[in-house]
Amino acid sequence: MPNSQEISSFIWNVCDDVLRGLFKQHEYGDVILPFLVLRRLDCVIEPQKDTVIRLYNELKDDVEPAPIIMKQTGLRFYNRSNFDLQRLKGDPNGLKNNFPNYINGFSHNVFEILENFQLDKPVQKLLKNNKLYLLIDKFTDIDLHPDKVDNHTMGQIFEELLRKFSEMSNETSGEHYTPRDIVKLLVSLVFAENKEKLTGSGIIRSIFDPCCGTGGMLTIGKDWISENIPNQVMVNLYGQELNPQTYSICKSDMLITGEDPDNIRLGSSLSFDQFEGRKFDYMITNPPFGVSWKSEKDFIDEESKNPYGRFGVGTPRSSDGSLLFLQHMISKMKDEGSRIGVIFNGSPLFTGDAGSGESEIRRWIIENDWLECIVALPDQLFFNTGISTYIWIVTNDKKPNRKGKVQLIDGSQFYKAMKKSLGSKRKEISSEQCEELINTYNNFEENEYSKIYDNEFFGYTKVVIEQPLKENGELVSKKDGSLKADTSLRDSERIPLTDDVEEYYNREVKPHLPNSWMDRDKDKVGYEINFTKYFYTYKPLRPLNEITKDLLALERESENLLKEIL
Amino acid sequence: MERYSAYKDSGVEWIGDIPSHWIINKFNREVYFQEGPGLRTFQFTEDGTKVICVTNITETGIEFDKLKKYISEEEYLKKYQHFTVQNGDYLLSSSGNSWGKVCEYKSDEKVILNTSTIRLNSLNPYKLDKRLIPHILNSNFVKIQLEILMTGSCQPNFGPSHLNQLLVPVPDYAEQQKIVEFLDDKTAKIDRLLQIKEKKIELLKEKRTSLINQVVTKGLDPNVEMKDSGVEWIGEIPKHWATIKLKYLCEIVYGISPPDTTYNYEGLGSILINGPVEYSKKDFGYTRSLKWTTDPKKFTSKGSLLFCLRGSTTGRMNITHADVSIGRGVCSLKSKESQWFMIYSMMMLRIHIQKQISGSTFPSVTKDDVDNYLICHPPLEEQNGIAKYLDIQTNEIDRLIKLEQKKIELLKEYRQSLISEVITGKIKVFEEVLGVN
Repeated sequence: MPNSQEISSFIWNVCDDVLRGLFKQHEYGDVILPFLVLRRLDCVIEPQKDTVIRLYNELKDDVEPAPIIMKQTGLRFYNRSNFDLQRLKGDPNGLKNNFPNYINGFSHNVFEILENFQLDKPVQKLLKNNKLYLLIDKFTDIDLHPDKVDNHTMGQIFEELLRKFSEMSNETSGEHYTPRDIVKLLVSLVFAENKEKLTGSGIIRSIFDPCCGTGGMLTIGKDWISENIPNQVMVNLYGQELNPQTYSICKSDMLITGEDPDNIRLGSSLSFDQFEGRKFDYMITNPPFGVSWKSEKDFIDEESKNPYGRFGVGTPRSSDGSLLFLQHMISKMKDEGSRIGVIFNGSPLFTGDAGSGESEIRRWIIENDWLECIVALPDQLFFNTGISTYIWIVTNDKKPNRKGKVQLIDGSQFYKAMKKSLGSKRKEISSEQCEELINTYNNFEENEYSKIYDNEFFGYTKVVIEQPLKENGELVSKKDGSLKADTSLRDSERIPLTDDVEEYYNREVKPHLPNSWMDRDKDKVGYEINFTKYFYTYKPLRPLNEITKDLLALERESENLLKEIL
Repeated sequence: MERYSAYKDSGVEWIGDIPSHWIINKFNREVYFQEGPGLRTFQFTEDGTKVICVTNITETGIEFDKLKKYISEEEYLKKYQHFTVQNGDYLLSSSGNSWGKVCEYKSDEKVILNTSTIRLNSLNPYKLDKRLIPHILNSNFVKIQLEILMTGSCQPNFGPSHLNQLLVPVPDYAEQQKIVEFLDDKTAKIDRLLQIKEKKIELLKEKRTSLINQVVTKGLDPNVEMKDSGVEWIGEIPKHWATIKLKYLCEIVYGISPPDTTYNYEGLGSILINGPVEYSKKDFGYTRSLKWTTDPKKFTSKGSLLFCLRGSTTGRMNITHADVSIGRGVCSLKSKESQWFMIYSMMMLRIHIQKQISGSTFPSVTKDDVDNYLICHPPLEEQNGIAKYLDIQTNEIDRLIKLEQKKIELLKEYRQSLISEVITGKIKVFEEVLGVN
């Protein structure tokens, strides 16, 4: 079986031999990706190619041939033209007509996918420069049948290519294809707590990813269930993806591996929810980090006015839409219990003051007792960015011992350095380390890497402190006799929900500002998670006399040395 | 130092006179050398045969910690066997900013060369003692010749074709061994001394920090009664002290940026400090007049402590060199009591908060953070005493650090001159008992 390394070096050779000079480097993907899909499709349908052609010709005049062809061949898709990539090679001069014939010969479900690749232009260019034959010739050299190259490997290849192509075009759009080690951890955390719920007969479960990319998370999720659950669980995969190219790859691979491709849909999950009203058992995703949602602002703001809509509790700042995806998923939780795993950067933990959209969203999630666990991951795990990231586990079905509590796990040191870095990815989580993190989660005990807090620990009241206004050295009173406040001296205090406000004021504020008072009408409750602070351990500096001792020892040694040198 | 009894002109400007019984030869007649092949990114694999890249070569040996590259065993056997480095070969870095680093490969592990790394060894071990090779490569006259050959190219880079043109002095074989023994001994001692000096500077810096920490949290009187401050990094404090939030001790001004159309570089209006650009490089150094604005929004006076609020430089502090206006990237702190006691305290606070700042994705601190940072609060008189004491002590430590830095420079210069003079025979390092001349 060819491994992903070999296939990608094959592809780079194709780029070098066929595409160089003709296409700009960042355009390579527009050619390579669809041809990979075509070749993979061909490999699946090749054995029945002749049967399909025969059936089609027999049936076409009388009935709609598709259902019969699929039934008789057992294929979920087919190509009724006389061509596949291999057969196109038989008539090098006829490519101009035969290639479109080939593409149009695909069954409707494939044709729809291919349309998204917008193959026309690159194919015209290849034809004009006599390179199409060469390209086809190269691709027929490689066997991409799913028996030879499984879905994981294919996904890995697609993701590596997408990464490299996007590096070449200097795209910094914040799209990060999620490496397998992270997905495995995420998926394990989402499913681990739910093993018994998955055990039984006739169980059907759904997994949904609102930013599904090439579908890697979904297939790994499904694999986890088939590897860890002894009985047959029927798992249906659902995904939505914004980028048409990625969407097409995902859809074609779902088709190839026997999933229902209709469950993969195109468009923005935020402003064009293709699964409105649907609920799912499990939701996993890695939304783009810190991406602006300005272009969808009108739609989202409108929805946020509806208290029953997805964003009724508030919206984050328009420069970072991460939390919107979590709100989107929360709206799709089933009453009988769903579990969500999402990968965020650090911002959703703490950005936004008390009363701001972000803080209100955190408050809503924590006060509803949905936030179960956050795992800090090592930095330098992603291909396109070295930033620190966090897995959030959110559920409306906490186990009794977890109720009212949030577990924080510091996994930032659970990595091993990779022998060869891939883009910004220099670290990976080994399977033992992944296991250890999952055990830490399952054990639900405090230790060096695990802390458990009550929900209200993360909340605070922001209390406004006023000081009296003085005019010409005199205090100014309002009509009701109370003192007028000097707005230029207005200050505020964050008082933990676990602390008593009056006591705090008398202890911390009054001694410094004896004339001040609290304006409790302006109280606001905020929530934040200062992850690094909770795990920060203070390392005392070395005492002076120890340092001095070391210095003196060095001094003696250097004096002798200098004499020997000079 | 002693000289040889007779000299002749070497004919090479950079080498000058050499002992009359020595010869000048082309480097490639004495030394075998080979540069590695230009491996391409896609050839690198996860495992297989290790590849030596230019960054792996350091003065003290081969370092694989930061970078490990491999090619597959298959590819190695097919194409690259003849680039295998032998135990005892010398390795030379031939491009990048640190070109010219030499070290010996002392391992039996199978590795091959990559481009920009050159392996060298003696062509005839009975004619040239191979241990002389690194000293030759470290001599002034080789560096000069290579630099001249490299001029014109924007990236420092040389290869075998340049080494081919090198001319080197070659002493008698018996003399070579004496020279090598002498230079190996001396350079090892110099290197050790350099190491000691680096370590000493490190310790002095540590001492400086530890001293400030002790004094701003414990005071000057070692016998005073203590109590727990309740703040982890502060620990115990004298019983008559308290801790205080910055907002109660200082006037804090948060900067507002004027429109950039009002910026100018001709001194019109008020000096503007927007952030680290106008800082001096040194932590807690003084700010600089680099730009002005005709529409300043927020002012602060000379001697205020500025604090970077966002970006990768969050937490960096400088002291204002004049009355200035400040932009939104910084806030300014002016103690209502001893300014310098506060500044010394902030040096310690900075260490404490640094880890929290750098741990986040987009480092920044908020007004809430700065307002509520806690430092110690001794009586004013003690604050003044502490500030004065620390001024004297830290100045003394800084002076010692500078002195050590100067010594390091001198030692390095001495090392290179010593090698060059011995290698070109300007000084003789052994007794003439070998029947030479």
